[in-house]
Amino acid sequence: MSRSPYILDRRRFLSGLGLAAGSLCLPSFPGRAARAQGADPKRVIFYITPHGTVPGRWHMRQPGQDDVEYDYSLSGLAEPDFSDILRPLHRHRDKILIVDGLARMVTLAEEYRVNALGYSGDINRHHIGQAHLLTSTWAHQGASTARGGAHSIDQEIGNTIGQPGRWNSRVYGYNHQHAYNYVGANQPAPREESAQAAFNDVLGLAPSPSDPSEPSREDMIRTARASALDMANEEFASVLPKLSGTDREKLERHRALVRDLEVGLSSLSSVACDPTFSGEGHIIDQFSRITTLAMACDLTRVATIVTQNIPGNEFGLAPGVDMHQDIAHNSDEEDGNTTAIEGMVEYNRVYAEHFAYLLDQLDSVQEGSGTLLDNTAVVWLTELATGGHALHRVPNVIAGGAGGYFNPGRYVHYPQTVVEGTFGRSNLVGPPHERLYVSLMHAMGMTDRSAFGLEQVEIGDKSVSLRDPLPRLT
Amino acid sequence: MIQRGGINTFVRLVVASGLVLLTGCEGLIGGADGGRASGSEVFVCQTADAISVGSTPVRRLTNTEYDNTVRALLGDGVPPLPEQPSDAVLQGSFENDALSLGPSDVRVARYETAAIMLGEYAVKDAAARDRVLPCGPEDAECGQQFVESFGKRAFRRPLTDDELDRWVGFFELQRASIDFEAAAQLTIAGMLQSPQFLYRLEDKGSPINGNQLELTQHELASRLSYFLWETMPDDELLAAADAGELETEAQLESQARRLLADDRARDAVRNFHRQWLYLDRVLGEAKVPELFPMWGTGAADSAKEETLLFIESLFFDGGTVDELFTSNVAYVDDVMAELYDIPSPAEPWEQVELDPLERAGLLSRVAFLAGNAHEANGSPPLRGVYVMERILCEQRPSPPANADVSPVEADPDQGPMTNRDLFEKRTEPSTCQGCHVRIDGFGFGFENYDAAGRFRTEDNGLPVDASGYANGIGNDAPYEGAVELQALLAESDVVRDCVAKQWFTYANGRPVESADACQLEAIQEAFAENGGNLVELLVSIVTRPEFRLRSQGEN
Repeated sequence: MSRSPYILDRRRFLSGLGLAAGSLCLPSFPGRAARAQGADPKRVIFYITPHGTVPGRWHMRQPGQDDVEYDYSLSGLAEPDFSDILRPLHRHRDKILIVDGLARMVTLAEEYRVNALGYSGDINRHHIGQAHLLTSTWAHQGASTARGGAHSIDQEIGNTIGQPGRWNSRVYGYNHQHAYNYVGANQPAPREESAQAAFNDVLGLAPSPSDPSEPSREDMIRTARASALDMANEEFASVLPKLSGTDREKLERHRALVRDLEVGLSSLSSVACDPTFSGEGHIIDQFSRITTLAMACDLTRVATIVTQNIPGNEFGLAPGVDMHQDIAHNSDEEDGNTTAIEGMVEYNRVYAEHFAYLLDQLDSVQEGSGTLLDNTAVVWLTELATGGHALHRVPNVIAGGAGGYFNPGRYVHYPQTVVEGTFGRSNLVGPPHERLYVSLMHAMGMTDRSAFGLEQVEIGDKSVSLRDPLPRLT
Repeated sequence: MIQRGGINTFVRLVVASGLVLLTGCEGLIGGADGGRASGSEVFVCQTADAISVGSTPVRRLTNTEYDNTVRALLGDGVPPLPEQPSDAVLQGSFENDALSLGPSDVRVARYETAAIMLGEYAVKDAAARDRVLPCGPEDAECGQQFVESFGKRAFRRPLTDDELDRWVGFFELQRASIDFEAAAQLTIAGMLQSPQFLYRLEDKGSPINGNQLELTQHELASRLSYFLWETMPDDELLAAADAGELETEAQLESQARRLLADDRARDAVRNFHRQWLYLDRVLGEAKVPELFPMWGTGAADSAKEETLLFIESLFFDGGTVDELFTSNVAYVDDVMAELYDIPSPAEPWEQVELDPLERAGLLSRVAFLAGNAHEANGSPPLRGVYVMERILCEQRPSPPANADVSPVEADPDQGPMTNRDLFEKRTEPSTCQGCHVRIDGFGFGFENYDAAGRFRTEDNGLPVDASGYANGIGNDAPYEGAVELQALLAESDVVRDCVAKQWFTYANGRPVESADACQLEAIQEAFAENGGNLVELLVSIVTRPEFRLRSQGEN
């Protein structure tokens, strides 16, 4: 690889993290023992796939129980007992929660506002579905399209549990149309599409070895970089009192990032790691390995993998078949066509295989008496519930235990109730999907939070609370 | 029933069903709003002579402005810098929209890397040092002189005494512990990470009334240069600010005209039009190779450049808004000549005149036509929506969630059909017509151009029907083909007002607000009085009293 301008970034990180040349390429993670109090950190990974599922081929509900809240253990199930789409997860059955029945309440509510209450805005379900998925709040509505209206849950958690000198959160992969991850209204979080660049950002080349007792001029300049940042930091401090509102919020955020960077440059922590990069395999799997590496090395605790929209010819469809128009839009089990339904099942099964690969990676890293997977919540989210744009019974899987918070190895089912829709339609909905993020925040130790984004929405004459963790997950 | 039937069909449609259905289409996006400006509201001026300034949010330098500014500070030879995350753009706004110009961890880390690289570059040899250092290491006062001179350019205003003390203190500390050059390098690195450099802070100035403040001369200089040049003020503009020579309207106008005569203004005007007219859209366009063998490497880039050259030369040659839609002058290279079916030029980008019956105005050029098309054929809905959004400044709703937005496909059993036939069939249901009667009234006017923008009179062996009805442009009328449509747009008050609104939005780095109503109206009126002269439009924005003001308080 040629020397890229990022080389200084890498050096900064390595020097900030104390990854001197001598500690590179170790076979395991001896630095782990040095971690304060020995408690392994909790992490969260969002794995987002486009469109949605084929419900009848995804769910594993017990017959006649649709009106009941229940859960059952997955551990006794044989591989053929798993649904067509979830079958690749069978080998992880003791470490996953299959969550059936949540509804995208904010999206239903925004649609209701526009259609029934006369608010203006884009209500293309792809657009608002993507804008809402991680933000759980009204979309930022601008000319002809909707985007995230506030920072997303990955940023909220990352900014709370992040460590100085590490990345608070990372976003890898693609936009399905618009971004899912936002640092603020209409401000997508930085996202890395190249696996090599993603790797370079978290790990990379070591600085040239130097003798700390006799620092070179270069070493002294490198050390003084923190002081230059401190000068900038002070200027932010003197500007802030003159600002208000959004301006102040924006520059305060900038100042906090400058300070984090300054701390990172001057702190020497004892994390050691085994940084290797392989560009082999599917791009989704490459991101899964980098995410595992970054988490194993504690270089970040929050990551989002926005999966590539896999072209149909990767799993046997004719080249040129449009996944969106030809397959997803025709995959309704009642009035779709067989080619599209089977194509959509296969599409989702392939994503399940990549998800299982991510779990394999996480589960192969030992931490204490368990594995990295046990200390992580890996959440499979979809843009919409189905190829036909449904917003209820979203197909979610939570893998890992988040350090004992979740109680995995179960299928969890939530019953459905009716809310008013628009144009005379009504919707069957379960508990709000948005509450999943309250559960996640609690799982990450943020137990003082009772909501993320909107706390309550009105749909028709019904007021729906988005507060509090979901039942039956712990 | 909609059938391919020429102008009369359109007139009938608009009259018979248009009113009712159009209301349905507008109703989807109009109505009560949740208090969030969506850019589509029409504000009405109540008191024509009132001086009222809308919000003035702090703006970070855009990536383009940052690159231009570090080059202005340190020279064109600066090394390639780490690529920044792109400036988020909400569709329909500009990259300089303050709302989107925030920080992120990656951005802040890359600013740090870039600042260190730039500091290193600034002291790397005698020539580079001469640019930033007014003195040498033998001079004990040099730290002070350097901080004063470089600081003033980096912060685009003289440093305050406090700032001077702090930065000189920092310089001397680094000089003592490392050396003179390291001190200069680190001081530059520090300043380039300061909010005074990275943001355009308008936080001084003097109150005049209510919550309105008059900008300082230096704040005004930056407003002027970032609007017209997308970079920092040059020495002459800074000197004018120093001397208080941006006080009168005449002084400001003369500086504006000086800036507009410089190449930096040409770059900025190109960049504005690239964004306003979605000229990057064509770059992502693939065309079916069997149908469009010339659409290989470079055709899309050439198409974008061709439109930009057309606009740039027209703009700075005293051009007017109507000429944007009527001029048949073009600058072509080989591939553009092939697409326009004219002889290859002797040199790339030679000026030519296109057949005025086939090509006149920017909407009969390849960048627009091929950029708003599918792989095999043109897309009347994409082209029509573009006219309404970009040229008429209307906000359009997205297609309904279940709308089929794929290319249309012919059914072999139905016999030969044109592209227009297929689209008319798809949007035939009345639920579609609510919006499509207007969209297609514009979109079908471009049926004389295929997916790559080549002129055609036949489509699929059948004669092309490029008739349409321009509705909602003020001078509504039926027309035949894109040249006639653009002749109508050229005369339209709605179009002229829209162009002024686009520039106003760009100048202010935010959508139009209710407080802007009178100012925008005055600018639109001046634009009309100036015969739609584009350079004069920019001068009139700059010489408005509001251009020297900012508002205080919550944004």
